[in-house]
Amino acid sequence: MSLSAKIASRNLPKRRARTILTITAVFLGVALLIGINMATSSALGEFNNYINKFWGATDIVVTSGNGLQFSNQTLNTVENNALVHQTAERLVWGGVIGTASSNTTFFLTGVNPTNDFDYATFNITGTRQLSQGEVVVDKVIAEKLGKGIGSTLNVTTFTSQLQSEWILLRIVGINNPLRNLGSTVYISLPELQSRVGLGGEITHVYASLYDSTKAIQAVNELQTVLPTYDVSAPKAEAVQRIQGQTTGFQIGLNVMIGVSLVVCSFIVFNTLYMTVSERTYEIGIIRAIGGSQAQIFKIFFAEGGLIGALGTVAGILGGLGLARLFTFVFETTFSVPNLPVAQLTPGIALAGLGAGLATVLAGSLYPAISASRINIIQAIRPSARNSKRQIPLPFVALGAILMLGLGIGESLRITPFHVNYLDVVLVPIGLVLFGSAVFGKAGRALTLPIFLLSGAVGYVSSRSGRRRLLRSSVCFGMITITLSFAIMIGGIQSGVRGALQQGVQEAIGADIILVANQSVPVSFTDNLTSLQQVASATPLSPSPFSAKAFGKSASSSIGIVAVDPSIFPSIISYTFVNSEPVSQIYQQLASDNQSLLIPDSLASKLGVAAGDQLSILTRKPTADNSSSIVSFTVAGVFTGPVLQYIQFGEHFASDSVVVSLASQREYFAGRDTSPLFLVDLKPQYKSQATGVAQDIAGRFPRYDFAENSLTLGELLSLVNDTINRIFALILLILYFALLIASMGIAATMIMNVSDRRREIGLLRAEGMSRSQITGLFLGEGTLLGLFGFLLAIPGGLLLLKGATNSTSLAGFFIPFIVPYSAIVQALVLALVAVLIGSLYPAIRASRLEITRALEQV
Amino acid sequence: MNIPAVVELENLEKSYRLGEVTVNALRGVTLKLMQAEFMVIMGPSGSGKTTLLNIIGTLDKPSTGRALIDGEDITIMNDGQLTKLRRHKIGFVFQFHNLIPVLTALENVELPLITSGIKRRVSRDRAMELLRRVGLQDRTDHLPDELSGGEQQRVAIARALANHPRIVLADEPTGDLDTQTGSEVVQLMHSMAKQEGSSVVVVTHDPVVAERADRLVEMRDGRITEKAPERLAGQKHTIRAVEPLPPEPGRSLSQPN
Repeated sequence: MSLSAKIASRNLPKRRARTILTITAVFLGVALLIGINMATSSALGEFNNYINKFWGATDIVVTSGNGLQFSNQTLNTVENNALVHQTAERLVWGGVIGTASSNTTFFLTGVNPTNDFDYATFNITGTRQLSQGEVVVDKVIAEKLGKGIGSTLNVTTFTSQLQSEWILLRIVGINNPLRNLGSTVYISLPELQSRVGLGGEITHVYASLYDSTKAIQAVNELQTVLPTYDVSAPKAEAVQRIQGQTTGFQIGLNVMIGVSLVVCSFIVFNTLYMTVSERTYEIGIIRAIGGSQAQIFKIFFAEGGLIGALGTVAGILGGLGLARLFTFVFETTFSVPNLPVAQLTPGIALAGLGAGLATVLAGSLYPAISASRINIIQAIRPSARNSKRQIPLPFVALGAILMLGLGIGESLRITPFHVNYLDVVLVPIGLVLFGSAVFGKAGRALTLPIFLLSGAVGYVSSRSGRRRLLRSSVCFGMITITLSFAIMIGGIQSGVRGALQQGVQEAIGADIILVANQSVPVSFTDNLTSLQQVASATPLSPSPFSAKAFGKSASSSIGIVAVDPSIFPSIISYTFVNSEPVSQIYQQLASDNQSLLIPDSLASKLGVAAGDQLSILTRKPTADNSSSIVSFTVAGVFTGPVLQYIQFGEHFASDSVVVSLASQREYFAGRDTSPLFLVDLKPQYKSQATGVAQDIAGRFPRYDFAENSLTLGELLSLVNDTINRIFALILLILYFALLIASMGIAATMIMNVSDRRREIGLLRAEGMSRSQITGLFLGEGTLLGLFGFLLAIPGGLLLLKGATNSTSLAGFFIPFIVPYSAIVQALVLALVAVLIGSLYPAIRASRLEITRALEQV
Repeated sequence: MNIPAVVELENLEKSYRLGEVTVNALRGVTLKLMQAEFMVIMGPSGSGKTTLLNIIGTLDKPSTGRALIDGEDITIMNDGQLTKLRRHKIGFVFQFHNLIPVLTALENVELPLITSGIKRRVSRDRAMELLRRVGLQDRTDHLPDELSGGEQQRVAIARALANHPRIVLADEPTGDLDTQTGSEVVQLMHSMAKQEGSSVVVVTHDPVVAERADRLVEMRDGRITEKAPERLAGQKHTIRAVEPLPPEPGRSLSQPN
């Protein structure tokens, strides 16, 4: 063992309490990082697994831009792409069993069992081969119809000429899909093509790739050669979408882990710096007998390294346990039962190892350097030490002001440049430095809160804090940094809640959102408005088929949502940007079937603005059912933070355009039906929305409204609940950071007690009681906690301001709302943290024997 | 026979600021230390003894004047050169807390050898030999706080001599010991330095130590006021072979962490 390691390893146990606390702090920081990453990786892995199972080997899906059938020659174009491994063709059609009043609708899908690579992976009971008149049905349909293998089905479908066609089919196999959403009956492709009069035509091409990671590249290549088709990579896009939606959440988690590790670094710094201070004489001796500066540096750096290695290794092991806790929290938070046991991957282990060692080494660097630079004469002759040597406060203040100035400029976005997260680093550190300067100069003003409790205790404690400025600064600094983020998170939570609630109200904010189990004629609104509680009602009709839009800068598959322009704006208030007044927008939508409203994200993607023309591949029904590209006018561009979370059929609201019901009828095969109705209640009934919704469900049982309908209150409460659960998880990590800070405070207080034994002895000898000594140290802790809290208020608000000036956190702008409840909570947390950290050292101080205490030189 | 000078000090001045006051710790000190000479410096507190010792030990630098060790001017050396010089040519014995508390007696003696990069086996043998010579061969694995004050100083003497230094510097080596133990420690230091051929400079208030001196130097107000080799010439003690001193069981001074 090297000399440095030997001295380091033997010194650590001599300062047992602070060493244990420091190692525990590192342990917690690393365990937090490992635990969170393992749990996150488990959740995302499970999601990817689910996506992979759901889509099987299919990497690419090709459909026509408007959902109509196309020639199976397209299959060759797909097959010719070098990235494509296997292809399969299908004709997805519709079928129904039952009577007009009671029926079951499903997809009637034609497949080639012999060469459909995706169908080959289905979990089918019975046989998967399909001869004439044979079908495989999804389990859900079989159960709903009470059918099994060998049963027959009397299916009604329609031909390409919209003529009804009856087919008698025999079930030869039951498909057990991944989730209970299957509603498909599989039939031989040639048979279906023949029955519906679409020989040689299909609606879908499925493809697998040699390398699934190249799915987006394959989409781009195929989209180029098939411009009027919709080419998608469902697996890759789903993964991208979930990553996009969880970015803010992951940033939140990582920032909190970062805060914990910074607090750990502070603790290591404090512990080692105090150790250097205590061992100054020893350093002098080693230097005097020929130890070099580098050797002294190594001794103290090795001590930090040893703490880091022990804490990190323990943290990685502890992280395994913590991962189970966080996996459980994820399961509860996101209602995903039975997440797999998180695995410690080499990547996560390395991240933990790197973060733990980097944290500790960052904390050790300055103490080790300062140890190596100690003046030998001053080290071996305490009388030669300059007792007035202090941190030059004016320099500290100047540095703080510069950092704060730049940090505040970044938060408010008034600097000529912008560096991501620069304010997150500069504001807390600048505030702590500023706090140090104030703490060193503020004099008796700081004693005021403690004087209220006890004049004598306050008198001594306030001066003790200022006498050990560096360690005091580290203590309140940990509180300031942690609570700044607590206040910021509280503010973001309030802001996100406010933005989402407003967004929900803007997007679908009717008093009641009725969701039927089938498409209902839009004239159903008359039934609704005839109810005495209802002020108005309007359909919201998503088209079951996609369309394809060709913008100036890109083309994209889009969803179509139809509304009644005369009533819709009286219930829903979209926020329009760079558009005409609302009344004019809806007037144009009503009068011009070739006009539409578009969300800003889609407008930006396609490169169009209000007043521009947008070409759309429509399903305008013609005699031969051919399609055509029609130019639409963008009547208005609207915005909303929740559009990306609302899904209509295959498309999210953020990827769907809004047209009138008449336009949908003319260009998008609309039939004046809708499964969704928005209901606005008369003012006196708004508080009874739930009762009214139940009443409507009872009056129209055939639409099964009770199953899926929501009131605005329920929707907002759902939004609130989800936000609270997500933020509870982030705050849980923050509490860990605070626990780590408590340990740092405890370690510092133990040092204070240790090197003030003589002072304690003197105070006791002069008549101070044990409880007064306890109060002395608790008072010092409280002073540090309160000071840290006071600095955290501007810190938190500035961080919040910076966060609300960026969309990267939530995908939309969050309003700046001062989080009063979070500030109050931060005060309580500060006091709890310092009391936890100070209690044991205070009790230890009060129990010192007076004679032993007075022995200290 | 012409005995070479190990240390040559020429007109040394040292001043430093203490608050608002400038203190002139040394005022034109000129002095030579010969090979194997046992020099004792005495004088009242604040007379500049320790400052002079620190300059000879390369721990401090003079404000003006020249200081040579083995003919090399230490006033123009940088920190790295001074560290190497101390490592190879100088040994120290301080008043108390001489030893690294977490290292055993053996490891403490080994410390300067290890910092010099000497192989572990060689350094261990040398340390064992020195501990045997100071009579602590049975206490090699004891930590400093398991040793008495006298034993600790004997370990410090062994450590000071580990690298075969040209000079051993001792600042009040008996200041923390009782008279009997102090006398034994001085006798040990004297005899071992003579055996190793090392020169010794001892700063002390203790007349018992002064009795051992080949040369006694007195200082006052930063100046050498009296050189008394002649006074001591006729009273020189006969250097006797020193038997290893037995350990002092039952004595243990606790050291603060």
